[in-house]
Amino acid sequence: MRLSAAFACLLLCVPAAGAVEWVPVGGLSVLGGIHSFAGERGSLSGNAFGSFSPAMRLGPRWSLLPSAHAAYEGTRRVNDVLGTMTPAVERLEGRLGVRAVWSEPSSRWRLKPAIAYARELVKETRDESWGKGLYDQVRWTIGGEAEMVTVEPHSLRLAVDWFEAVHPNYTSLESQAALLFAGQALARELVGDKVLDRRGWQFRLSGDAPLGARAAGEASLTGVWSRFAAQPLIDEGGQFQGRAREDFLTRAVFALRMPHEWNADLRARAAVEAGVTANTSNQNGYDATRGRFLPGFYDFVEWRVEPSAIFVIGPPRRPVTAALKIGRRQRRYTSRPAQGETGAYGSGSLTTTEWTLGTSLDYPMARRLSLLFTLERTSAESNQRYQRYYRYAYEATTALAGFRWEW
Amino acid sequence: MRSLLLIAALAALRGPAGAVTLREASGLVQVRAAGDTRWRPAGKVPRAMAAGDAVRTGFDARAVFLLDCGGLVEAAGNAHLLLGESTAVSSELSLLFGAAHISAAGLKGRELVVRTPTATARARSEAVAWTASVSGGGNAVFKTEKGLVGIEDERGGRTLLREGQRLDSDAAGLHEPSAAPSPAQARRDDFAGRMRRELSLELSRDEPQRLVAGEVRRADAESGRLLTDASGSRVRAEEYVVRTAPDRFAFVALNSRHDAGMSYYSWAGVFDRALPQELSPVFASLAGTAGSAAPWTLTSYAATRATDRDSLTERASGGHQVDLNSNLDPLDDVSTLYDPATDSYSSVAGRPVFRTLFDASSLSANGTLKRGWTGADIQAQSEATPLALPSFTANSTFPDALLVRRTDVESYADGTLLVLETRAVRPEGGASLRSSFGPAAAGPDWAVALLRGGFQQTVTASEFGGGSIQVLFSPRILILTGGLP
Repeated sequence: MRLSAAFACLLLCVPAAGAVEWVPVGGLSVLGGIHSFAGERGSLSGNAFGSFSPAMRLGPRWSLLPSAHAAYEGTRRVNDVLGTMTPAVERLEGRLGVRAVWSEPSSRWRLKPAIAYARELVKETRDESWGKGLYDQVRWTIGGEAEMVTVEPHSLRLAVDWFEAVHPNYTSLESQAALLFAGQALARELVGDKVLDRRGWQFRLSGDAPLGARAAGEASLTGVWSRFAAQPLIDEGGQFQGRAREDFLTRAVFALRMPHEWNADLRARAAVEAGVTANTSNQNGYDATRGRFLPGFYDFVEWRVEPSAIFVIGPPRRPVTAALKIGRRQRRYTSRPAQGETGAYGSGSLTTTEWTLGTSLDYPMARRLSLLFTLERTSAESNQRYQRYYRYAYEATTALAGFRWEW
Repeated sequence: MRSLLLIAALAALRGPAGAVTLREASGLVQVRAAGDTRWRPAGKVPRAMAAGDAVRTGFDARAVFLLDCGGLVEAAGNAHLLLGESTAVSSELSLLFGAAHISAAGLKGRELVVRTPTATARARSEAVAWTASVSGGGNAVFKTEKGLVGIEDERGGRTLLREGQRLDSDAAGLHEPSAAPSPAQARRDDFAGRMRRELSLELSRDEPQRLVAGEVRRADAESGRLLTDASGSRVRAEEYVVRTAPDRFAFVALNSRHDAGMSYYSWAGVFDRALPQELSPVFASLAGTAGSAAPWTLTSYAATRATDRDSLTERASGGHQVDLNSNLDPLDDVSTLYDPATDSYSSVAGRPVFRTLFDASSLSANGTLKRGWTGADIQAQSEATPLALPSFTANSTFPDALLVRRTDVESYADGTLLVLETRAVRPEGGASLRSSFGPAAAGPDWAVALLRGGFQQTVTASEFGGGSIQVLFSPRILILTGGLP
């Protein structure tokens, strides 16, 4: 009976589905390469990214964009979290999302409610298996975006999302010890278990606009408020308080792009991108081997500037694109003191500086198919001499080659 | 005379220059008169326009021009046009940006010209209709709906665009004409383009979350919660202080291995009075104090290394502070004292140095008492009386010349063994090489060198029945409490 009802529903839906116009959009890129970190060369591996969406026009105003995205990263990039003393990281990500787009032809506004589910699997060591990684993550994002078209194709966008990020395999050891070694005073009061799980809100205000006759500008402001409900605050005595950790991460980015044309077959676009990222947290740190309280342990400010030049060579419809960029990133932990070689605390704040040099080549092979080559090298230094847990000074290189196919 | 008449006739045929009419304007339509620098609203229509006037339209706006030659130009929203000379025999305008629809029903030989930054289109038939759109960089697209349109670029390239054909032009010149997509196909292409952009925006929504997740992972690593041990395996670690009463605290170092479960080292001390909330001076006093006694006295402690199966526990009680440099035993004098704030040893020779001595101590493996001593208010360690237990011999070796690996073996008279293996571990895993560690094998240099890297201890005992306890933790607590071999 249920089967008959479902079948009847399906039949009823067919005429409606027939009225829907749909267009497949997506892309695929596959890159193989090698990553070396601090003189240690990783094995040959690769990265692959693919996305697909059967975009549907439901009517003159509404469109629907269900999407699937998958990514595999076997080769670390120089902008990943490096310094973790992990020789290799493999990451697998799957994401399903649905985005509706409302756009009245006579209006300059577009409204886009959206929902997304993502699952990220991370393998950091050889003894971890897929699905059992410590930093595996499941993420829900629900929200929407409002876009105001200023001067085509430029617009101003505001996106607001509620999110939940859960690490299914991460439970604090202290909470485990409280159960495993019952009777021993091994855990503090108020200890939490899923200490990295977080919920919160994120917003992003972004826009682009022409700046005079020869330049265009892009700017974005992002804020993420996260509440770690199971992670209580640490007080001066290294004990837990009743309140939970809350972080607010802010990032502002501005980019100026300026095209130039020497002749019909040689064009360039110079750009400079500058950004600042700041994190403020009510959580503190505690050095248990000295009984030292470290207030504002997670607070930092990071400045970044990245000039780049893109050279477009050949006919405009299928040009060869070569890019060169150089970046400098400086992070200062506002309250965290730098440490000497043995871990003794100094007086200055912990600061890291990173230089990155990158080059890439995009060579079109067919209408939607391009060959890609990228080479990136980064060099980091810091006033932090204690590198037992995390390497603050290193050199890393990533070389990748592959193809991109878009449809 | 004939020539003059001909010139006069031609002049009459040309009519007055600049007689374009703005017939319709909806939405935001602005005009910048020739020679003026300001944009002003188009105002009431119909309105006569002059050569050199510029017109721009806002979002979703529309402007319709009637040209002297009989042509009609409809500019869509976000367009920018510059009007040229327009007479009864020839009309010309430039489309600088945006899209426009151009049509004429009966040109009768009159010229209709639309210039774009990269190409120029001319009507080549009596009745004609086409669209022109200009995007960034001056790239233009022409689509002929009716009649013939001649397209030429600045490089001398020319082509005739027939009904149903489209042609792209850019800085490189004209491309090959192709069949213009049907209205349905054009609508589909436009929709696909917009949806590609939406897909890109949709995927970028996750960027802030990736950023936060990366920071969480990085902070975990920086806090020492992810370590790699001497065998290269990942070890999760947590170190913290537990306070169960005002006069006591416990230092706990927890480890978790994927294949071996949990293990820990804990040092729990009880003092003679309530301790301050900030424990750093208490930690500093554990190694001893120079000049005067510490304000608080450690009366008892228990140091435990354990897994969920095995344990090695050292207990002491009856603690009291003694000035070792002033007691009767000259062999226990202290010449250097460790300062945890600077991780250095300073000279205290000749000064009073107070350390805690205990009247009772014991070491047990899985509950079996291995060794210990008793005493009564002892003033020197030599005054303590060993417990009546099987005697043992202790032997320390560095079995591998290349690696920093120290083995302390206690061989008991009852045939049992207790083995403590101490290893310095490289941050990226694996035992430290002696070449990078230095020659120190004992004393202050040994202790300070161990602080620079990872530190791992493995305990095996006959009582464990083949099991062992491996703990990776900071050696500082052992240096402070005198537990470092």
